[in-house]
Amino acid sequence: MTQQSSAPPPFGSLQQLRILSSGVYIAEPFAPILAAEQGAFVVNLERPGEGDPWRYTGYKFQTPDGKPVSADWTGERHNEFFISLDLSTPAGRDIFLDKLIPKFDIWMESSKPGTVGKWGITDEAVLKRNPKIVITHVSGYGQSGLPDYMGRPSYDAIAQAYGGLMSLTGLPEPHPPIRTAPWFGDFITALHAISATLAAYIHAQKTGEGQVLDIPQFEVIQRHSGAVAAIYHREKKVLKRRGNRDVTTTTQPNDTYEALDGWVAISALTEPDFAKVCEVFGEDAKKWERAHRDPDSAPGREFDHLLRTWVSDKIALEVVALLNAKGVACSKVMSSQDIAEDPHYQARGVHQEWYDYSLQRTVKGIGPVPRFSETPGKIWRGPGPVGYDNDMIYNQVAGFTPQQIKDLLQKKVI
Amino acid sequence: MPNRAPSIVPESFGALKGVRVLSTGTHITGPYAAHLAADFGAEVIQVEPPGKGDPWRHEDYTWNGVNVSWVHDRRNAFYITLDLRKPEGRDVFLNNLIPQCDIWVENSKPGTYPAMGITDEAVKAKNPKIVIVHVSPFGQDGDPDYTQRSLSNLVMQAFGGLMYTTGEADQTPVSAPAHGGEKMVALFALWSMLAAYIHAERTGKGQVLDIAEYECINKITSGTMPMFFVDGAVRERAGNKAGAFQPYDTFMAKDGWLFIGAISVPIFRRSLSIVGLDPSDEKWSGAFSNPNSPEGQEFDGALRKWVGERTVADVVRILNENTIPCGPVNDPQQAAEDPHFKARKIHEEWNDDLVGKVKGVRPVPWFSKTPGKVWRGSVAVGHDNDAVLTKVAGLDRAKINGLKSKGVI
Repeated sequence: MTQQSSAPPPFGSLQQLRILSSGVYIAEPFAPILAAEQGAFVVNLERPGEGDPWRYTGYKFQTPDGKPVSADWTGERHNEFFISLDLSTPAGRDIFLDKLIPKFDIWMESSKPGTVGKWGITDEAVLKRNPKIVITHVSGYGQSGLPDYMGRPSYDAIAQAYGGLMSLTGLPEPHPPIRTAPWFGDFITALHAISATLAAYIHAQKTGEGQVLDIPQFEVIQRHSGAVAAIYHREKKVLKRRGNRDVTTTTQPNDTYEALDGWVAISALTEPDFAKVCEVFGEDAKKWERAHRDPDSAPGREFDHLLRTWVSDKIALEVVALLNAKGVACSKVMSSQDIAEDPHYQARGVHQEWYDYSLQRTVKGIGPVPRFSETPGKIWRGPGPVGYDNDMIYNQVAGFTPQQIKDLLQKKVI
Repeated sequence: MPNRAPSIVPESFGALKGVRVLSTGTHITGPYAAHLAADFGAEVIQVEPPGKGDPWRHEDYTWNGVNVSWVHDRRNAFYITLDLRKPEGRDVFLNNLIPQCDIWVENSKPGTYPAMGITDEAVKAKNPKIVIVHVSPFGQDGDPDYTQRSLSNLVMQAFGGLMYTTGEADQTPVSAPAHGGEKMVALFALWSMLAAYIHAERTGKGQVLDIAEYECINKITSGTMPMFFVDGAVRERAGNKAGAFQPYDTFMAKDGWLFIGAISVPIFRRSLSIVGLDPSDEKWSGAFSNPNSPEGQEFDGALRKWVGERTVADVVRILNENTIPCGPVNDPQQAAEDPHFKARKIHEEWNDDLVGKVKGVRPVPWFSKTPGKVWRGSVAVGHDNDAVLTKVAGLDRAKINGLKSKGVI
């Protein structure tokens, strides 16, 4: 396959939208990827040289010449153009402010507060060049608050911990609190970021007024568990993790149960669903009414034991079939292999292939989610190396001649 | 189409001012999306069945019989009742509400609304520009053996592949709490409905979104699927460890848990210095990317010992001074008392019709020009029937009384 440096014919609900993204890892960069699956023109800006450290983090694939590329990067970074620019140099700053910012509707970034401002890239300078632009700052701790916290580094798990989700996740003490893997704290931030950014874009389209969004990861996490905060404020009650019984869930069954060949998750939170579970394994639901409502009572524990015993001598898919036949929510805890082989995932075409320009091969991963009836999403290219699209973007978007681009490269500005 | 009724949101505010969302779902995956839009100023009309309303009102953890998640998350919206199974209810929905709205979001199994005479075609005939958002457990089509199955927050995380990788290696897989799966689905519904709305505003064409709950979960598993498809490698759960670098784990200090996350070699080298080991010693060169090597384990032991001799506050301060990412594992009390939470005023108080004063989490994120706000808490079943049915749906008093007497509202 040859190099593809130009976008496919316009597609998607966001085909008019232009996003410049200069963040790293997932929490910010995954937000424009979602927009790009709906046709947005997304330019990902990295520092020259190594680029985004996410390229080299975690489980790795190999390029034909033996260089490592992160599997997570490979799975996430599609449909965007890759340019490099050293924002810490005056020349880089000027290109960013004068040549790039005026051409975009949205600029998203995730540096520590103050970092790019120090180089002259302030919100004021950006809005002066483009009063209609939406600026989205994603950070660990926010753009204001206690100065001691604002400069702190934050990653997925730190945000899950500090934002209050991790203390609620995992088996009870003395088991450790658990992060939801692989990177739940980053993904939930990216989802909030793209939603809020599109909202601000809608406002800008209607009024001509751009603005600045401040999206700290820990606040996104805290918003997610708002009811737990409300319970603390009113009752001074500190809810604690208890495995798969969610912190505010009051009924059972709602847990994982070990079958012969893996774990199954079963939920029957309401009385009618509980009756269906009882029917499947030949128990009288009336007799176990208290067990359903009060999992910690003696009958509650007895019922839990009965259900565990019933599941334990079956294969997982047998339990799933029996309970689903009655309309009870139940699934094997699916590994990536189980998922790849599942008939429904296959029937829906959830997983698709695309070409990766770093690995120089076709890879398969998760296609666009959700499905749009009139403007279907697509994945039209995988990621490329750092600066892969410099020639095209600096010429067609920023307006530099090929010679000027060569000079910038030589001076290591790009 | 009838003339567009003006917004009934008092003191209109927010980036989504003027956007009207009709929400007819229950529990979380549909309604939470609409209510997050309401934090940004959208006018949200939530429809419930007459009588007891949404069963979610009274499930889960309650105050005076009212679900606290309901209280916290069902703010900023107008609540009406309408029995869509009755022909009069369906007619009000199609003829009087759908033409007034930009987005209709619902969550149910496929076929539920068509069985009541509410097909996508019927809705589009009344409003060609509307965005229809169907959230369902397994999607609108696919393997027929699956599409009528149920999912819960827990089971969608199991089927979607998030749970398999979460938890300690030798223990049960665990799930994201606080309805983590359902709310993630709602966020997919939110961004995609706004994208489709942008398209509809630009082109005049509405469309239908098919949001399968399990697919939203699978979408946030990062490289887990490519690992399997490309290398046949199954990503396993390993507690908090990242597997390919360290330190990345929970550690027990004298007075509680904290998390240390070093995701690059320079951070690893700084953490060696902190615990008194020599970063220039060749011995440690492989310990960063091989946590299970003897040297990797030796480093882990040294760091655990160092953390165990100190308080959470001291470790968090010292490591952050050295730019080593580290944070306390805040429980609800620690979060409420945290000075940065307070400085950011993340918790605010509002009044709730059903349970009185509530202190919870303000709208997130912060918009510089169009700040969100909490302008009302949750309300009783049918609280806004009169206001919405007269001002938005355009029904007169006699018609509303007739619907009431027939039990349609």
